Amino acid sequence: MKKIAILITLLIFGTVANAKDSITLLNTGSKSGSYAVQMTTLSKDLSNTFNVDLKIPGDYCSAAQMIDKIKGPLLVPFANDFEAIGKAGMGCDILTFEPKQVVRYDSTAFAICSMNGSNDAFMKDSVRVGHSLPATVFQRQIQAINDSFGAKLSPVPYEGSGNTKTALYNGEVDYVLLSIKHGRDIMKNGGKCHYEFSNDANSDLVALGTLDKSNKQFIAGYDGVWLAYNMTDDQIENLRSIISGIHNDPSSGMYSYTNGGKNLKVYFDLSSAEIVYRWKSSVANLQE
Amino acid sequence: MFDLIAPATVGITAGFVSGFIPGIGNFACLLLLFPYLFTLDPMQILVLYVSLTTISQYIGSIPAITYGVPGESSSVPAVIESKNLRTSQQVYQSIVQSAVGSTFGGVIVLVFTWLAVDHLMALMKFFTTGAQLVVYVSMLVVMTLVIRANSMAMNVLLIVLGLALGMIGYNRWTQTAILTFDRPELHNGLPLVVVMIVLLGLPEIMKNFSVKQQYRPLMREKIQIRFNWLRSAWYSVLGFVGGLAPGMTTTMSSQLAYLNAKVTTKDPVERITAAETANNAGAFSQLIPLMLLGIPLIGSEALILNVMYAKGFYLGQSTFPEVFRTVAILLIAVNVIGLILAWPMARHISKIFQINLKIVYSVIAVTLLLVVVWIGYTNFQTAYYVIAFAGLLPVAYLLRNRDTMPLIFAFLIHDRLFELVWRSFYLFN
Repeated sequence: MKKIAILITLLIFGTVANAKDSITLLNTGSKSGSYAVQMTTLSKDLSNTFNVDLKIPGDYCSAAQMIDKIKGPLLVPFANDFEAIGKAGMGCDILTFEPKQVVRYDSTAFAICSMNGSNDAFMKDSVRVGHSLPATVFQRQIQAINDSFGAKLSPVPYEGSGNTKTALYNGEVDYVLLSIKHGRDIMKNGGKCHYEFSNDANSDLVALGTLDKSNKQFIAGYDGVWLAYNMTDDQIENLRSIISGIHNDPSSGMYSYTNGGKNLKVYFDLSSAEIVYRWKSSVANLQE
Repeated sequence: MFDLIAPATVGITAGFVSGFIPGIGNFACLLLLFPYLFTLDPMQILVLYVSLTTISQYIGSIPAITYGVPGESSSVPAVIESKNLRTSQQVYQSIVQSAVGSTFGGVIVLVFTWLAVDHLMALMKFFTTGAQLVVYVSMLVVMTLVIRANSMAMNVLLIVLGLALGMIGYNRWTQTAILTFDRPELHNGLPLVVVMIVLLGLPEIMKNFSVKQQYRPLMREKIQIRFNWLRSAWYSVLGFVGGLAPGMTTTMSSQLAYLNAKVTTKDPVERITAAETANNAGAFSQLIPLMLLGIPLIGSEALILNVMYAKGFYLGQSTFPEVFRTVAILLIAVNVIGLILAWPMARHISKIFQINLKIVYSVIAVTLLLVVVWIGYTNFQTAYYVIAFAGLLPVAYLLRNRDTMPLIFAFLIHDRLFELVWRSFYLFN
């Protein structure tokens, strides 16, 4: 009996000694989108440091209403397209946040890629362009190309970036409009990327923003923030440091996902003013 | 690989329950395991499911042959032929040969599929939106035709009701809210687990509550195993083809082989062996569309697929090689365990039939109610889950004498079906 009591005591103290802090990761994107992949990957990377509870409700609206109900430390990714859709009255309530809540800021441009297409054919031929959700955002970008360059592009929506790429490989669509990260995957599989939504004249791809400088919609991409909730400033700083370390660790899942930062630009040290400026511009560029 | 042992063990145990207790099929077992499923990785979920479906085929033959009670639907031929088994030696011979045949059927189709993996992958390029739409619509049509417990009109009505219930919520394609009444809880639609439990789990338990059970001990007899490679291979082929039948899968497998055996032999042992060999081959082939294309052929697969989606994991071409490799290795191990359970252990397992099934059903019904509350609680929506549960009870009452699987299946695939229809407008306009 004595031995059992000692064993139980040891077990309890052992558990307490090894207790890790808890954190909830709440995915706000779709179940198949890049946010779901990132949150799943991050949950594994963080599992050495935290007891991670990963929640993927499946859509932004459901996730947004869970935020207030989760009591402990919480990390929530939020994207500029959610805010753009919300401001157009089609989504749910928009998350309002303070710059100090931002643990990570990321940014990636949209690109136009194909398996067999060309820059000229894209602008001249009647072609199908696959894109992911939310449909309104992407279809507006495609319409902008039609309006500015007289192109004859027909949008075709898919559930997520994976399905959009499969449709390109199957030949169901001729081109895809995806983030440049997925564009690199397509190039690895023998395809090529033609245009990007930026005004970067030095880019490897033709920057649509340099072809029509008057149209702000050609400077469009995904901007995302990872927001900390229910944490003190010190806890946020600590989390930022841990997540930054994970992104720089070649053995981590996030390092592979971002290809060491080559596929997705991530920032951990932006000033409050920079965060506000970048975010507002990125949302505005996705709006009409 | 070690992290797959726990879910595989749970799957084997659940398969045992599913195979042994009438009315508690794979679907009901998954509902009971719902809280556990949500703690697993997508691959662990699949491993659990594969273990469950395979073992339920092995175990299902024991009560079917010994007591004439179908543990699961594919054991019906064994139930019919069990009445023709005259001696305890024939009963034991049927048990043993079914176990051996099941192992052969399971392993042989696995090996052949392994050899043909590249060809299967090549098929993917034909799997466009149009092709997928045809497959999904065909599945609903087949389901309308094959579920004989209801009239065809009732099946159509149930499918429409399932699709309608599924449409409640925020539609990402049209970007509109349907019957959400500005309630944020309804944005994500009716809770999957509530719909499954109220409209399928509870009615199934009620239907089986009055099943009569009659225990008689299974005796070990001296027998000679008659195993014919060629015939077993043929039954495996039939089982493989049957396993690809939407809505029917292993039931179709065992029926096809049974019908064939009825023509070629009068020996009830041989007929039972044919059906049991085939249903295990079908237990594997039914997984191929799921693993390769992310297309569920039966309700339990659709449920698993939904849970995996909820984890951000999509089954498809890109995931198939890894998924297939894992499942193939697992299946070899699970088939060996199935053989041990259904042959040397069969005598001991049959003794479990002495328990009072009414108590088991009552415990399961209470557990299902607790599952609803638990899942609601973990999603911070306990009140909503309970209200949805209560709201659906009248529907369950109205449908108490029907087979509600068409409704459930339509509910589970509504999202994918809507996506395909919606995209077709873009592609074909």
